[in-house]
Amino acid sequence: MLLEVQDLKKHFTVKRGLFDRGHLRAVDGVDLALAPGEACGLVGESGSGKSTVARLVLRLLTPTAGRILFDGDDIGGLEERDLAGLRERMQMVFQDPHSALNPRMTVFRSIAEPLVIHRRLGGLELRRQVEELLEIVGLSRQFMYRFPHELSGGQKQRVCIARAVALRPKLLVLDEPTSALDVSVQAQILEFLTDLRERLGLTYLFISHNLAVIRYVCDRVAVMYLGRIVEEGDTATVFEQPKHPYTQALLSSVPLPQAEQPDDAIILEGDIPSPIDVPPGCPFHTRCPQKIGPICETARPTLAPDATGRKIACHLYQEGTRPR
Amino acid sequence: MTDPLLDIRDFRLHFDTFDGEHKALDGINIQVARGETVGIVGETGCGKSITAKSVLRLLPSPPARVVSGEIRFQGRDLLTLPEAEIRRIRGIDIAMIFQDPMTYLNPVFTVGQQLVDVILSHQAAGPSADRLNRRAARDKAVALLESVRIPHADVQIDSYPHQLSGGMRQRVLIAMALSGSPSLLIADEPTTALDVTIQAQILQLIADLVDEFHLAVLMISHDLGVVARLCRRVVVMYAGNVVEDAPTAEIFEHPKHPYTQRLLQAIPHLHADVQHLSGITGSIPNLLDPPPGCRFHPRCGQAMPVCARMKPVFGDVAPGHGAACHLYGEGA
Ligand SMILES: Nc1ncnc2c1ncn2[C@@H]1O[C@H](COP(=O)(O)OP(=O)(O)OP(=O)(O)O)[C@@H](O)[C@H]1O
Ligand SMILES: Nc1ncnc2c1ncn2[C@@H]1O[C@H](COP(=O)(O)OP(=O)(O)O)[C@@H](O)[C@H]1O
Ligand code: SF4
Ligand code: SF4
Ligand SMILES: [Mg+2]
Ligand SMILES: [Mg+2]
Repeated sequence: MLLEVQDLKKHFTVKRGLFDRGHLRAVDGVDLALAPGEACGLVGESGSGKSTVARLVLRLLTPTAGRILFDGDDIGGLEERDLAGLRERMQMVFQDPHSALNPRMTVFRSIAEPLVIHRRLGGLELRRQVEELLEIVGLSRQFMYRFPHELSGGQKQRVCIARAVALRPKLLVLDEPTSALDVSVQAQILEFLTDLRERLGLTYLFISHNLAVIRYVCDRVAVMYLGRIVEEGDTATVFEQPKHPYTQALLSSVPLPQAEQPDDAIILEGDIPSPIDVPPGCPFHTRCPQKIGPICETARPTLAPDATGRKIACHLYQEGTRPR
Repeated sequence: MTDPLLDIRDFRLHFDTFDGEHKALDGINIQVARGETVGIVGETGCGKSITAKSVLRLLPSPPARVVSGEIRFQGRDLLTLPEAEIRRIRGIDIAMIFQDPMTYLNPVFTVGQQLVDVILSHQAAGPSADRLNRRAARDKAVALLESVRIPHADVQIDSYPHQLSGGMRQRVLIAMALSGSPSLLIADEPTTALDVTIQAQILQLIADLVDEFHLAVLMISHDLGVVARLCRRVVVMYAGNVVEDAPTAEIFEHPKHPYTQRLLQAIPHLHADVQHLSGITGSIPNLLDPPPGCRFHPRCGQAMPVCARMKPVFGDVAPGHGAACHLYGEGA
């Protein structure tokens, strides 16, 4: 495995009023493993902890508990000064290409920066590598000395990606990389990202709330709810035969751009609970249309594999707790 | 055929700015019948929101300037009505909801106070015999909150906006919109900021209200799925033009305009393993100096010499299905 995350937790202390302090469980026991060359998707609604997982993996945050094994190293406990080497091996692409680029830096300087800092390149070799990177992301040389404000959203995102792959990382963490783009531009970037993965042998941890985007990019998908993974497996299998009641509702909620609309959409009631007050037992029990009984309110279901290797965290599928 | 409820005819709107004249709407035609649900789709900047705002005359002028056309509502041209008349229509006969409900809610008053104020202000416009006192207006407010399926409406009415979730705030805004018993609801990306399970609730709610109150809806979204789920008819816009207008099933199954076709090929699908997505090369035109002829011609794979010279006229390409493209023009 290139990346292995075990029982990863990140809790924040937050103010809840003048004197009261709350305990916010942004990530609450996540297990995830990525094989080299794989594209794994992380989906879930706002606040489910996707970006926090990404920032933990990149060690932009320090975990509260759990282990992060990357490329043979235990990186969960690394100190700030030891992280530089890690930055060369894993990189991130964010949602908003506009704010990710320095407005006063040309495309050349933006892409060259990591090569200058980490590889101490300069002169002709630097120029050669930047030109090669531009070619990889499909931008012609005429863009080299442009500033971000002279680029479209899609072009900016390509520059961000060129910068991210400059040091030839093994892992690319992409957090909603196309959410700020129009669909016609999104299509270009998604095409390009799938192609790039093959060409450079990259591994992706790809975050999106857009399930169709995940279907297109990812071999495997993990569905998060309130800081936990509730279902994980091969993307096509999970999307065609979702087993966890939340995954079923989530998929069923997506309005499809097509003539025929399902008339049996599952519409969940109520809101997503706050991660400060995560319901005990199964975190989904307050909205679950298939709740079995008291066990759902008291016992936390573990993420357990079925016969095919798909993992589900739900008492409906757990030996011993199944009522039938 | 009876007159449509809303009839936007040859509407042309420019913005006069320091940079020059933005030719933002280039002669658009959109009709909405009573009780009909119509969606407007298109990418950023194509003119969806300014179309909606023009109907309610919400665009400040300058910089906005109506160049030509009319916007008829129940037969009257909204563009020429005196301001006092427009105020009697805005929020009462035509209501609007937006992407970010917080912008339209006052954080220092409870939901109930704001709703009661809206109800009373609508009444001030009506005959005095029908006027309610504050007490009765509050009861009406609770009923409205119940009609948008807010649980424990009698308690929630005393909440401040920040105490509610995004989905609940959007329900409050819909309740306000309903308070004037409108015949047309304009919804500009009302679910774009919401999570998908909450979006499904709000879309279901709007669909129920359409049935319950025989409401017509003009739904604006960049998400083709949202429009497919809610609307009977879809209008596709590109760079300030309506390029296609057809029943929802037709748009998705037999799109005629090259832009619509490309847009549909650009969206990934949830239930299909798509091997190849095709984006649209080039970028959205600058409306200061839009391409002559068909505004899509620099990006269109089927462009012909005429496309750069003449603007295609919108016309029927199949029964009830219109498009603006030279491929379907006379002699093509
Ligand atoms: N630094 C922080 N301090 C306190 N709470 C935080 C912090 N960072 C994240 N959170 C909280 O942790 C939870 C998970 O946040 P996260 O950003 O991981 O969600 P997400 O799944 O990426 O959501 P979205 O889809 O909105 O991007 C949220 O409730 C968020 O408010
Ligand atoms: N106040 C303004 N001044 C100049 N141009 C404007 C103004 N408001 C909107 N526009 C332009 O009008 C076009 C349509 O905008 P809008 O209707 O908001 O797009 P959307 O379809 O994304 O809702 C865009 O090109 C936008 O830049
Ligand atoms: S454990 Fe119980 S409440 Fe949770 S998803 Fe399964 S059935 Fe529903
Ligand atoms: S008018 Fe010409 S350029 Fe415009 S969409 Fe039709 S074929 Fe393409
Ligand atoms: Mg996030
Ligand atoms: Mg808009």
